[in-house]
Amino acid sequence: MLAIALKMLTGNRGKYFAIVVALGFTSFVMTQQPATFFGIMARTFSFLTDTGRVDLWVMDAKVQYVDDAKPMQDTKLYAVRGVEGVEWAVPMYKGSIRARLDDGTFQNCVLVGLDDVSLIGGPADMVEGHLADLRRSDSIIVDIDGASTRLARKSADGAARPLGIGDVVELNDHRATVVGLSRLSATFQSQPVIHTTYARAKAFVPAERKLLTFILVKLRPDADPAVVAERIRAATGLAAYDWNEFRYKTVLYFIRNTGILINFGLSITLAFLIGAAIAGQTFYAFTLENLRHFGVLKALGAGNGTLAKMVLVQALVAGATGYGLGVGGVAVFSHFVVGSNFRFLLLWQIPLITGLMILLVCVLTALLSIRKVIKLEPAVVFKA
Amino acid sequence: MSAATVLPVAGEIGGENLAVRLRGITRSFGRGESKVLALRGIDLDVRQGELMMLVGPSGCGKTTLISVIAAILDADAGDCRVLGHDLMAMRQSAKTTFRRGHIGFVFQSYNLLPSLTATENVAVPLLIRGHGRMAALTAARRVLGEVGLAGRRGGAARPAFRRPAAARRHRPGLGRRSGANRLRRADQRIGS
Ligand SMILES: Nc1ncnc2c1ncn2[C@@H]1O[C@H](COP(=O)(O)OP(=O)(O)OP(=O)(O)O)[C@@H](O)[C@H]1O
Ligand SMILES: [Mg+2]
Repeated sequence: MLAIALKMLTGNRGKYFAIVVALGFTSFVMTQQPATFFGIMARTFSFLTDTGRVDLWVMDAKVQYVDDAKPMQDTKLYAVRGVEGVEWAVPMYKGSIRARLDDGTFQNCVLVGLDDVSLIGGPADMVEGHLADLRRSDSIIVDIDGASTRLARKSADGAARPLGIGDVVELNDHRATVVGLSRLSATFQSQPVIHTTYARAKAFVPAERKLLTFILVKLRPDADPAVVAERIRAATGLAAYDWNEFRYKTVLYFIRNTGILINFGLSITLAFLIGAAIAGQTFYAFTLENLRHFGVLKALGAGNGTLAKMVLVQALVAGATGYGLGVGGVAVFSHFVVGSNFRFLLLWQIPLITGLMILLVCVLTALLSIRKVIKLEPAVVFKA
Repeated sequence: MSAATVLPVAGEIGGENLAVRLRGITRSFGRGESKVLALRGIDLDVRQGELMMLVGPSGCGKTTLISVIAAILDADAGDCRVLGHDLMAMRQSAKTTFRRGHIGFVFQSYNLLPSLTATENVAVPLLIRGHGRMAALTAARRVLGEVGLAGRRGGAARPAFRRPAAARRHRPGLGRRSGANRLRRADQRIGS
């Protein structure tokens, strides 16, 4: 009987097509939009991703997200080093600087200053050169994306030449030599990222009293991060977060201060409502159209349980086909945008949630249709 | 609206071996002003194996009566026994089981499922009875062959009913045959 149910469904090409397309559209949007949303969100904390995991990030208590630099006095570093449970603590500068290119144009860059001795927090993925090369005088490491796009130099014939090792860049009137190229995650503002030492960063940037942006802390093996964070707060008045806390704080800041969540939420909700309404209505119309046939099956002795199963199978198969189409569409879509500048992060939970929502739509619609079929009087078969 | 007239074609009515025994069957539709009394106390006996024809003007209640006998419509009152079963005492699920085992239909309006092939349409009653798909299709093909409706190409009996012309040609035979198929089991044959 289930095979007959499927033939009834696929035999009605127009309605079957409409249901599958509606559910496919819904599945596509419900998968693609959250993936895009999470892709953008991941960019907000890409600096944290690239810096790697230290136990605690210490910063001014008013810092709201990772790019919100509120520099502290250098003396805070020694205060943090003195807190019980701290194994070591190193300074980090993070700010922006103007780079002057050969052709005279200026480009705003992110400048990161690493602890001179340990170079902790430096890029893990070096395309060319080594992190240790930063110990050479006037040296900087540039991220490869920035080097080949915004920091590329235009030669006389108009062709762009990527910035490479040995090239000299002027940072705020200081000459700096490129000693390495790093590969970083895409950032939110897509500005080039330049790494150098903490001391050199202080020399490059315009003289300011405070330049210490973050203090990166390694805990003693037996220390509890939450306890030490609290001690740091008490002793220095600074905020201390572990990697995940800081990440969530950053994401939360963007969600609270931009319309991004509402925007994505709205388009996902609309897609769901529209797709579910069209699919549900079409499926119900399909059942009504077949009501007479269900009546025949009932007259011939098919019980309500059998008919309910048939309707449910029809709904589930239509749903599975639509879902497969939609999620398959997202897979094709992501295949084509991988590597491009498009923001896309397909967490495994997304297709799962989409699938559950489609399942919900199918089951609810099927229930409506089943109700109709169960209430059907088999005597309809003799109506002209 | 006159009450249905029942004409036994052959033989006298006997008390033994009755396939159908109706006493005082009534059935109405609607309520209040628009209430229609379709059956007003029908008494009817039909013996096993008897060929019975029901004749009457349009709207006199023929379909209503047959629907009650075939257990697809509930009578309002009266006594209704078919093949020894008391239909008035049956719940809907029991009636469904009863139909599945005993009643065959030849529909005037064919009632074929358009997305199924002829063979599949004929196989539907067997599938409902829980026969395996292969067995049901084989039996259906054999029955179609017996009535000369085996497929035109290579003997495969799969004429699809998508084209109206073909459908019109095949439907009556199909209906007759599928009804006859059940007749063999149920000793019942009822038309609208
Ligand atoms: N579902 C229904 N609701 C309301 N009235 C009905 C219903 N079914 C039948 N009737 C009425 O009951 C009466 C008997 O109808 P029935 O269909 O049994 O007649 P019939 O003898 O089969 O007629 P025909 O020869 O036209 O098929 C008619 O007046 C009809 O209008
Ligand atoms: Mg009639």
